[in-house]
Amino acid sequence: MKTRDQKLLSRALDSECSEAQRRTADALLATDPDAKVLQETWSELGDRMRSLPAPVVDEELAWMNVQREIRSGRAEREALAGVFGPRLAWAFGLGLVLFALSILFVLRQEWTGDPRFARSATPINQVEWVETGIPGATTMIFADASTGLTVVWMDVENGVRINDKLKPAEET
Amino acid sequence: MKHLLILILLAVALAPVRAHADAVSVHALMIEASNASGSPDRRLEQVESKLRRVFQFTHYRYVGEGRTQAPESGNATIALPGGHRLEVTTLGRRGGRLLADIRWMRSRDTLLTMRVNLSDRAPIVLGGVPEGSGTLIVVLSAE
Repeated sequence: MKTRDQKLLSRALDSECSEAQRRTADALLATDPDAKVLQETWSELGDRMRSLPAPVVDEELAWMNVQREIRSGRAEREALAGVFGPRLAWAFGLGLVLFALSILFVLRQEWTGDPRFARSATPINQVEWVETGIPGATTMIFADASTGLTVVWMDVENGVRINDKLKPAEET
Repeated sequence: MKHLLILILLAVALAPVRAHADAVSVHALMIEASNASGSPDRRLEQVESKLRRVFQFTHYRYVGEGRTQAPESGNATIALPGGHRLEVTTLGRRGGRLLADIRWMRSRDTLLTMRVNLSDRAPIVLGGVPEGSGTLIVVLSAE
């Protein structure tokens, strides 16, 4: 049996031939007993292979392969590309850069902004106790959540009273 | 490259911790609040809007300011105009805040004494001392 005929039979089994080639293959099978035997053998082999279980991925072996690649000095970009795909690798890198820049921006705000007034709006200072040395004066402590200010105020007799000077609650 | 990035991020993250180990800068801003008329003072632009949200005063006048570098445990004084001064006794840190005794003095008179846990994230406003037609306010902050 000629090699050309074997290739024709192979393509016919795989349904990779034209209609004319198909007819030729059918004619060959009808006239050549060897061709018929060969086709049956290949069909049987194909059935056996399809009935085998799918190959199991050995995760430990795969991880060892990754480690070996890293140790062998391959570029980290290749590993990244392996995880995210070559098109997503640069996007991941860009995202990482943007993330780092955002952190730097926030920290820069923290460093260069006026630390007295540019930060938290929640009252975070605590006044444990307060006394006044002015006779007749009383003291008052309050925190304003909207501004973050903690206020320690003296009500001085015949002087300025905090209740007169504080804005009404609905306005603050 | 990856290791360099990690080192940079680590250095950035640890920078505030290192800063905390240094002496504490305490800043005092003295303001006279009143109901007089006047144009806003640009030196108060950071704080005036917040004060306006709390108080009813219509005008805030910059009087002066002072700063001191205090150790985390020790004494320091901030001199302010008009014979005023703040005596600061730092007692260390507690929960990220500076524990300090603050004494507001005018010449020999003690106007106000307090113990505060002062955060570097927000100021404390001391006030109520009559001064002329207005009221003195001190905005105290640790940095």
